[in-house]
Amino acid sequence: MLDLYLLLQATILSIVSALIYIVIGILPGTDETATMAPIALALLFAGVDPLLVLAWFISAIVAFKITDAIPVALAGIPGGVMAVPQVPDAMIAKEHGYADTLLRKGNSAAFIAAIITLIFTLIVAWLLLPLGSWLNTEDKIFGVGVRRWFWILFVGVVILALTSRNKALALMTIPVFALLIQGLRGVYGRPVTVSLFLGVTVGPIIYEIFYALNKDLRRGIVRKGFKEVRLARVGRISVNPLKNLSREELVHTSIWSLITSVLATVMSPVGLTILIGDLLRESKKNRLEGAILAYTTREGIKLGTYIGGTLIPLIVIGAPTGPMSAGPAYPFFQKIDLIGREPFKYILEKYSYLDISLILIYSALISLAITYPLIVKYSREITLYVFRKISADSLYGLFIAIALILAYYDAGLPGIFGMILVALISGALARQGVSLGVLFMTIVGAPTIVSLLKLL
Amino acid sequence: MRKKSFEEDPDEEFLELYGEYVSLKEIGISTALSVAGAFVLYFSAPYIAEILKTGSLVSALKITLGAVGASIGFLISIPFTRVKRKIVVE
Repeated sequence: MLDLYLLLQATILSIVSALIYIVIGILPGTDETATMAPIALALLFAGVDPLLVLAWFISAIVAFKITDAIPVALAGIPGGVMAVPQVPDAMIAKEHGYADTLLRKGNSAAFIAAIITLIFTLIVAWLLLPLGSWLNTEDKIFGVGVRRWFWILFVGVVILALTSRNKALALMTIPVFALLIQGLRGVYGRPVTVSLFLGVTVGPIIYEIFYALNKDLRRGIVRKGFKEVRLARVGRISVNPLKNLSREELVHTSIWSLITSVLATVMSPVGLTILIGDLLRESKKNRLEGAILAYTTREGIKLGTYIGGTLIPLIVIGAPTGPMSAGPAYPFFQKIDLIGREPFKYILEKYSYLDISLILIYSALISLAITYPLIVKYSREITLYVFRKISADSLYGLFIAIALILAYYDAGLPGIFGMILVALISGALARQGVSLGVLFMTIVGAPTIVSLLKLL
Repeated sequence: MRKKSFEEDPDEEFLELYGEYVSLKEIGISTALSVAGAFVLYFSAPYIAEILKTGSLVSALKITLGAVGASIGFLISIPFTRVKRKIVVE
């Protein structure tokens, strides 16, 4: 039941979350899983009401996904993994001196997408709610219990493998990686998940660091002097988001953010952002027009996929069936001893659907109310401050420390080495063109995949 | 303590990781500080829980304090690592 105290807590948490993720969003190279999952998990472990943690999470998505595009627009540097597909669009626009146009349109698209996809996702999830118990029914396949949602996850991971740069390796990775994960769980003697996720997340960084320890291998990545970052000028930006978008941009942003919010139940947010954005860019003969349309629509898709990819699996399926729910949002599917069940179950059992919807819309609005005007007015100043004060070295150290502490918590010293093993393999596979989403989803499906493999 | 970004040696070599320039030595320092902060607070959790008389929350406190410790280590590491970006304001 909603009360004033809960609303007050939701307000405070949403404000703090927005402020923290504005900075994290602007920081170059911050991975979503590494920055969102551990904090959500820490809050859940600390006994914060799971609905409030979900409000925190929604506020974080809104602030993070709006601000991670700012360094892209101003300097061509992505603030998060999801902003990487926007870099080529931004470089074209910057060449023509349109950096502030991008900033204006990107912010507006994100603002509109955040509101419409959240409301749309909540309606779709409510309509699909009756499907939940059907999807959670266990079927016996030659004696192996397989929940029906597993097939959604399986189709999703195969699609993701087929959209990876190295399709054959990505497909082969599914059974191989599942065996590795189940092997590690066997050694640990418990169904560990979170530290394995973080192993995948920090995998590329850890792999590159070990790679660079060899003098011969690191030759290709040695650079002299500091990296030059050119920060573009920003003009006046209207606070009214509808004024900043053309009719065509508004239509594409709205339609694609809604469609992809549902597709993200099983598909990769990064994959969808690349796919739809590239299609739109190629649809225009004028290179600059194509880049601006793609950049703007990608901004909407980022919000749509993150919100839909979290809420539909959480509310309808009750299992992490896509890279978003099996990545940054995974803490909501992990059993928390303090509440004696998974946070998503607690939320659905304790609160009415209306209460959940109101709190989530409220937290998104608070996040927008802080992030949007702040970015409209001070995007350049915040970016300058963050770029001048925070080194990548410190940030990578923080990621590694968080992964290590969670690995130790999960399974002691073997957990740390297991996490490093997963990180090295993930880093190597990512370098060979396998989407990290394939690995995230394989971790979730590993027990069933291995049980089915044993049948063959 | 290392000097900040305004003291650039154009011949100094760095490694490019994910579009950012880093030094292995400075990553080592920052990782050591963040890991130390994380584990010190992680292992302090039972004592802190005892002081707070929240014995049942030890497990939860371990993760929360570990994350706080890592963040403290991160903040401490900032002056020990150099920002390797040369910002040109257009």
